[in-house]
Amino acid sequence: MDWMTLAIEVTGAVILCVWIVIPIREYRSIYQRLRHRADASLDDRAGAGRSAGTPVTSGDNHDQETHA
Amino acid sequence: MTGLDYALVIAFLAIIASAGAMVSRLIRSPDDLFVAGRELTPFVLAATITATNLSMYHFVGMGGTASHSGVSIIWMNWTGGIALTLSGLFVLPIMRRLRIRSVPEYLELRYARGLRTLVGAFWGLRLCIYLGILLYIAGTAAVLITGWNHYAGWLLVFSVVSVIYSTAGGAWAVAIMDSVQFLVMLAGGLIMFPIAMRAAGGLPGMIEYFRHIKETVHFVQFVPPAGSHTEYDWLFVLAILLLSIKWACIDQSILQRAFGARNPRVGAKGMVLSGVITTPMAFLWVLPGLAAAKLHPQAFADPDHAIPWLLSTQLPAVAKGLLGFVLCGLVAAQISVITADVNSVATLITSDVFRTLRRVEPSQRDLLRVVRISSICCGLVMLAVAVLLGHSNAGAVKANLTMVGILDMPLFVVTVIYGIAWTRTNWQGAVAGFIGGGLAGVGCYLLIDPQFFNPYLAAPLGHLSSSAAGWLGGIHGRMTHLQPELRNLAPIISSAAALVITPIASFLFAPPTRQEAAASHPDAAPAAEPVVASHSSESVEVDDFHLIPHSAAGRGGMVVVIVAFVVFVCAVIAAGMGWPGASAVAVTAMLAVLLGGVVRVYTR
Repeated sequence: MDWMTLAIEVTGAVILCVWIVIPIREYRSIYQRLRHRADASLDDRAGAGRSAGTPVTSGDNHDQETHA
Repeated sequence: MTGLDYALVIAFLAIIASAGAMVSRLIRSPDDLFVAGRELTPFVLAATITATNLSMYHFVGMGGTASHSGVSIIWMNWTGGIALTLSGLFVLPIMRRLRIRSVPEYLELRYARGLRTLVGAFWGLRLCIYLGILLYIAGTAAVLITGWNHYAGWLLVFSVVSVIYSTAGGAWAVAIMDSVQFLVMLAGGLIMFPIAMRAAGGLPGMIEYFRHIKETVHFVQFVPPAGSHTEYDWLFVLAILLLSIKWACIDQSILQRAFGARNPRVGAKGMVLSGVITTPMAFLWVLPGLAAAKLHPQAFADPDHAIPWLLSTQLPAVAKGLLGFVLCGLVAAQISVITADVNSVATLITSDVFRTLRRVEPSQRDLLRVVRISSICCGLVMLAVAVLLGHSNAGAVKANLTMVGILDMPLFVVTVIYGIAWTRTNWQGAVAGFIGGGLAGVGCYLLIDPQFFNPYLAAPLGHLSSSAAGWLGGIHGRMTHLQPELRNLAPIISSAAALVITPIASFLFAPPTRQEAAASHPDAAPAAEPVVASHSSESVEVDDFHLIPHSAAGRGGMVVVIVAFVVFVCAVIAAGMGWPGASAVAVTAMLAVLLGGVVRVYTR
């Protein structure tokens, strides 16, 4: 393999490696934020349900939140 | 193709479709469907913007063009990198700060609701046609590479997988799978590239080969001077630079990904990083095109056949399964673009047409239903367009590129140049500039290209007045020599017309109200319109990105970007005058723009 081809290949391989490692870390932090937010949302709804005198089950919450 | 190749592609398609269905569990609000809950981070954003940008057109179309016309087609990507940097630093932060979901939404904030509906509907339709072209390219390339001669079957496979994936998972599915598809397409390119170079006798040898033949010396010139044997000369670089800036500043499918950024700084980082990684990647599909030209000295009747020919002849000779893996990369490139654009069409139709035409604010459940229905309708329209193109030998592909060149530049002028930079512009001026610029671009084609002049201008005018037709014929005769450069000239003329007409028309009517003008202010407040409440859109975000940097390093980075951009434009013009060092200066200036951009977004 000539040096020009090698230089382009190495650059591409470095980009490939960086974009494997860093996005995995970023997705992990996104997932934790989403889970934290979902937990906070569940707590809010449970609090609202208790104050209205109606018990809230996890199934109810799923129905309320998942419109899809 | 061997059984192993087919197995790899089928497994890849099945994983994509099931991943889209799994990601649908993340969808809780329209913001999740449109802008991935505004949770995207810099490297994820860079991957999704790059995957949205790169399609089979780049691997097959640009590689094929390189085999026919030389390396200068690479500026289609490289000017894109410059444009992403400029947009990331100066335009995206303003729009992201408004918490909008689409560019037409900005037009409502800045001008009038009617303009939002008009542009939303126009773009939705245009994107559907563009998607049909992408599907056509995917189907044609798949037939050529695999030898499985079932065009309709390939269309169905690509469209069904893309629509399921996009409809079920929305912007979250697009973001997550774009990150994976980016890696698959990069890996595919990295496999194909050294094999192509080895077959052509090595990259330095290939450069020497073209340099010593007079007819092909421009093949290895980055900015060919005027008079080269190619239409992709210095003027092409200038024209594509304009179109790239337009694309990076107003293209819905690119900006919608960037609107998913956690905050304006993350959006800017994602766009600049996308420009940085696309720059070296462009070699992976342009240089194999040159290799095809050397290995197959007789030019291909259709340049789009060059890369499929290279793949089907070179890869299976090296190892079994390699063709299947590279084909996965090509499929990934195409599906990532189609899904992103399907998601964009759904956003435009739902957010900019359906919502603006309703008197009552629709519920979240209604919006989600419309998103999914419009995604399916979009899939049907793109399928119909691809089937039609299959019967018409793709004449519509050039027509679409012509339309983009004519109509998108005026929209960029009224949205970005006057919308952001000049508060006196009113909606009347914006509409007049958009329509006037478009008409000027159409006029270019009518006046210069005999294919349009004779049937659409000379013949009808001849019925009304023979002297007027003769006078116009004289003008046409004097301008015919411009025909080879017409596709480069039209965007310049249409944007120049919009630049002149918009302020004149604006001065004829009352200035905009303070609220309308405020939308263009760099430090504009959050969106003036009531955004549908969602968990994600209510999150508190850190916004510490200033258009004028506070730190010395940040200011230095911004100065480098601006100065290098000016040097780049001067170098391209100097290339047109025959200066031999122009290509080297232009490439160096482009690298300086990217470097300055990185410094700017990572400093205060």
